[in-house]
Amino acid sequence: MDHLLLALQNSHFAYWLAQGAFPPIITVHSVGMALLVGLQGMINLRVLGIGRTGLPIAAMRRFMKVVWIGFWMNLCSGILLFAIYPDKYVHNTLFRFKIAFIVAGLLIGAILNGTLLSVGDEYAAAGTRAPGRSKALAVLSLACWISAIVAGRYLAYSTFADIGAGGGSAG
Amino acid sequence: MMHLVAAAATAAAGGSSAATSTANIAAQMAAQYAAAQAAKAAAHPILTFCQNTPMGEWVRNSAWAFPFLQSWHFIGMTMLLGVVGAIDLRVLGVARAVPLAPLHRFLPLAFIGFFINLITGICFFCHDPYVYAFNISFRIKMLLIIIAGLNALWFRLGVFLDLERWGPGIEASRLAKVISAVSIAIWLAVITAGRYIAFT
Repeated sequence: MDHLLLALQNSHFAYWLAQGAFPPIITVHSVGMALLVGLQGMINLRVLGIGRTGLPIAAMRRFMKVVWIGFWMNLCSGILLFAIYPDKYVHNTLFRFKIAFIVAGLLIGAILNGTLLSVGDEYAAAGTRAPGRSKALAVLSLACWISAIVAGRYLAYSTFADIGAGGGSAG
Repeated sequence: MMHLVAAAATAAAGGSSAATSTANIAAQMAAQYAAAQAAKAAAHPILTFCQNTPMGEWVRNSAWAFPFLQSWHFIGMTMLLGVVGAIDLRVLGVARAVPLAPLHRFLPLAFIGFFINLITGICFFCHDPYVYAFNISFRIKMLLIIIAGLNALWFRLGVFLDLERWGPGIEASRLAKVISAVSIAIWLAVITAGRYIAFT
């Protein structure tokens, strides 16, 4: 497994990525993050009752497709970022935490979608309140996604500190 | 700078001229460097002021200030883009089932996100003002944020009163769609310019 990762890291593909493709890839990763976490966050806040007046919970389901667009953007760009320095990520605890937060966030989002946003007409009226367990899931979802962002930011610097390949300045 | 001094010192020590003192050359270069720094500070008093602020000192001297501030900068960006993006996408016809007026009431959250990013952004700037002030990506980013603000003002003045009419399933006006499309394009460009600051 490590040989495979080392081969990937030493490949022309990874070299090309590290040289010129890095800025556009992290740009896509940031935009995907804003779409994914931004829209999932809006859904969570409505589930928690913020902006409840006039806003049906069920209608917020429509934003899930944007959440998924953000997710696929970040999965693709994330795989490319991984390919640049695989062995720095694969043994990194912070990276594992980030992935765990993302998986948990996606699962919670799917559960919220299945049990609250897409249950027919029950929550189609404006101003309806979500049940307590849905609110708990919404809080967990927010916590997971914020943790994933923070883990990602610290990961960028811990990785660069190990490699010594720039990073420490502007972002 | 210091390695230049060292190189000069090495060259002088290796040279055969006894009249040239190593210490003299080093002192001369140090004096020139100090004079150049003083001239730079005099030419850009605002940048120098920024550089000497406590947050500038803090970000320069703390190993984890950068990822800490960046975490907040990204969270602020997500709040801003989440709210503005949701409104713009709804105007453009995505999630048309969502009534616009109540969605627009999330706007204070976008302002909170903006102020988080203003404060963290000032900290980034003060950490190395001479680099940021002349960085083309940073300048473009600031210009784009101003344009985004003016565009948001256009939305407020031009279509805000129509929002109540755009309930579930009702299409927004052509003007609103133009403003929202511009809004999304500018904010994506702001993110792009921000990410390129480190690479220009």
